Amino acid sequence: MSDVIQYITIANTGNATDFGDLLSSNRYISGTASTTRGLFFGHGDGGTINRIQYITIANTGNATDFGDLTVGRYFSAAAASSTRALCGGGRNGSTYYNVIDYVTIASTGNATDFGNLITHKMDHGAASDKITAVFAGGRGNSDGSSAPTHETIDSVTISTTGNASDFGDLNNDKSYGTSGASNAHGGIA
Amino acid sequence: MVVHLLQQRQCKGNLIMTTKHFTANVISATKVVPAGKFENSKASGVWDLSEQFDLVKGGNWPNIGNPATRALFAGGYGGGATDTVDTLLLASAGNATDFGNLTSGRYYLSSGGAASSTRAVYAGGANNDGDRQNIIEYFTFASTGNGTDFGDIASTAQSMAGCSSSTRGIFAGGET
Repeated sequence: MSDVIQYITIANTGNATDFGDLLSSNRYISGTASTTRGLFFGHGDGGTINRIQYITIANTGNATDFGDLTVGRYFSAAAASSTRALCGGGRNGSTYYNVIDYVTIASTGNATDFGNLITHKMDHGAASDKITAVFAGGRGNSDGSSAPTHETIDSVTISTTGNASDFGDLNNDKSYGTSGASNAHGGIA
Repeated sequence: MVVHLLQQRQCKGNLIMTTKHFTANVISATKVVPAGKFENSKASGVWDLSEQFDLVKGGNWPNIGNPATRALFAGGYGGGATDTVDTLLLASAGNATDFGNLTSGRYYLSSGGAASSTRAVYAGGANNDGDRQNIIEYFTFASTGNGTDFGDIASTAQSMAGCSSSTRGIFAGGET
């Protein structure tokens, strides 16, 4: 496990550079950002698995405690507008979650319930623009089994609260940690 | 177009009529069908001036410099570590389509890539043998195609978290 935070300059190819440290060595965390803050949700290493931590992207340094998820979990996926970050799904032991939490990025504090994904799942990916967040792929079920794998894409409107609706399907089976990215996420001005 | 309007004003008690020139546009009565650069916009349909103002203020008004919002989903595991990258347009629900391939099949890439408005960058992951990788690679949103080598993270890792501003990408934690 690692507590290392490293950074790149997206416009320039090259190796990553040390940024600072997480609050502890963490794996299976999910990340998203506004234009100024990067947030990391949960982790899979015991103790405070409901932890949310953040960094200020422009300034190198260590992560700071932000607050707590409503339910501790890992292997979640996160997406954000420029003001609100969502953390959906995840796992704790044999329990797979469909919970979506949200936080207001500019403040600190505990997460609030947003609604539910269509399915209970982990190892999915997330992406967003400033209006819509999608959660795609993954695996798991409400009965605690790791099957089935999901090609489904769930979507929510970030500025509201409520349950996810069906967006469509992935082109390929992408369980076990597909990674989402978009050209208009909350970190892009 | 230039609109010529007759203007009436008072000057030393005399009523003077002048012509003033305004730059203006005419709102057509013909229905606007979203197409071309407007096709995938959130601001679809016909808008009145009030709606247009709200959409501009909310950052949802389409313009040439505001291309369709594209999401990529890279890697994962589907009967083996996959190199496939799927893409979708966030403005309209529908199935994802093929975008290209990673430089190698990997799962447990960084949870969330780092992206600017032009590039998506992915780091780490594990190959089909379960070996963790230190690869960073990138894709250009505007054109489908395969990943290109960007550089390396500090050590081999899977299951990191990724996020970014428009200029700086962050990768944190993970299994090393």
